[in-house]
Amino acid sequence: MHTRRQLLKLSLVFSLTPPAIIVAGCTQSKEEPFPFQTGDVVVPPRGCTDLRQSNSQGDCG
Amino acid sequence: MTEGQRAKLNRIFRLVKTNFVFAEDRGLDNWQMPPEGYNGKQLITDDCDGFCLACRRLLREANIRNRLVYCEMKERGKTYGHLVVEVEGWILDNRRDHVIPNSRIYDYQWLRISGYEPGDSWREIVDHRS
Repeated sequence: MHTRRQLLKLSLVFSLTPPAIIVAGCTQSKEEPFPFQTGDVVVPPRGCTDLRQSNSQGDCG
Repeated sequence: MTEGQRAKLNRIFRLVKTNFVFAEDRGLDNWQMPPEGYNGKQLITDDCDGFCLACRRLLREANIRNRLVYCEMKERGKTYGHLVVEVEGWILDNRRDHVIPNSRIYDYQWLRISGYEPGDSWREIVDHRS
């Protein structure tokens, strides 16, 4: 059983955070890609290096 | 990314995937360009890099900027290298059935990324959320 005080608190929480916003927020965070943060120049994977050497387009990278 | 761009991305992914048969490289990893005149309808028998280079060719022709991403994944206690294509954080991966955002891939460790143009440098990926 909730006390009157607890029920008042609960109703306040729900009035401040409408469920629709919570649901929309969750959906958005799952679907939204993040940007890859890049650092130093590194050697390409070996397959790419080999391809560059054999292919003038250097198209792997 | 607009809905139209997403649709274009999905069409290219489906086209390549439909005509792709996975086959592991024998010995060293061997990256092969798609054949001359490739338009997505020719059969590609290759591993992840062949799939990526085929997608990359069609994406470039559609003027969609894309990069290759090298990652690692663990399966049954072993670590495997894997390659995917990235377009504004959306991932084209031969192991998936759909184009999905990188934020929904939890089992890859993102390590290195190519540039957009041929000859661009590869860079380490220093920060990621997964």
